[in-house]
Amino acid sequence: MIELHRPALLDPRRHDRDRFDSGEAVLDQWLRRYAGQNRRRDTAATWVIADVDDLVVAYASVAMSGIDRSAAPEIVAKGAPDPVPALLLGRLAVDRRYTNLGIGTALAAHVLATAVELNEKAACRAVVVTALNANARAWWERLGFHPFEPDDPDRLDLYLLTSEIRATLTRAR
Amino acid sequence: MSTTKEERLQIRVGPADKALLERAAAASHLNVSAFVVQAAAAKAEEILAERSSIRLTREAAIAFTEALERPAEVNDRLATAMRRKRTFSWLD
Repeated sequence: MIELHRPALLDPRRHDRDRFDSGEAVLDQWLRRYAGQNRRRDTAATWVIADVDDLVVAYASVAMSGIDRSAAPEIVAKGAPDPVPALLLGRLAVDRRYTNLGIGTALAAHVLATAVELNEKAACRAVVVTALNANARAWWERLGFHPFEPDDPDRLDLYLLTSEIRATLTRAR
Repeated sequence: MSTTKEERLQIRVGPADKALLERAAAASHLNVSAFVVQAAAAKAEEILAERSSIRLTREAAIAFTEALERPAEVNDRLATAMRRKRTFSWLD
């Protein structure tokens, strides 16, 4: 069986990213160009799952974000917090040679558990993902994510509430 | 990406920018069209993946707020995915 390191923050000196091939050029290029957390323009944290030789086989990038509900002013007027604090799981990619092993699910699960932890210490009410295309949207829906716009197949933003993640992970344990 | 049909996008560009794009495209061994699409797609992906704000439409904002106010429920799809057996093992 393939053995992999548990999710860790990307360390540009340790992790080998040059051969990463998810089949999505923009996601591969982004990972290769990533220069480290100390670059001021990086607003996302990057988590990786690597093999025994520290070759990256999957990565995810996560940023704090907010869900803006100002298009429905009556909700905001009722005193509900706006924006709603959330974690944006902006990228998730698995190397093509390692698909269908459950690696993407394991990395997503790590981020979901992080959201639960964050929500206990500071507010983090949801995890939002932005799917690159219809296939990716279907993958997130199989994981339980809800489209913000269920009736519009062109809208690729989906969410899970931290409360339902917590309820689900607590029961699964 | 599986694109079914190519579509046209027309953009206006000043001579100085055009010359710059042509030089960069040549340096990247791409034609100008491919270069512009690749560079713009990378930027578009970055913007979407690192938004500090996710703006909802009115309908989505109302539906999301209703979901937030409901008592927490177990998500069956997520539970099923979490129970699925992994076909790899952790080193550490």
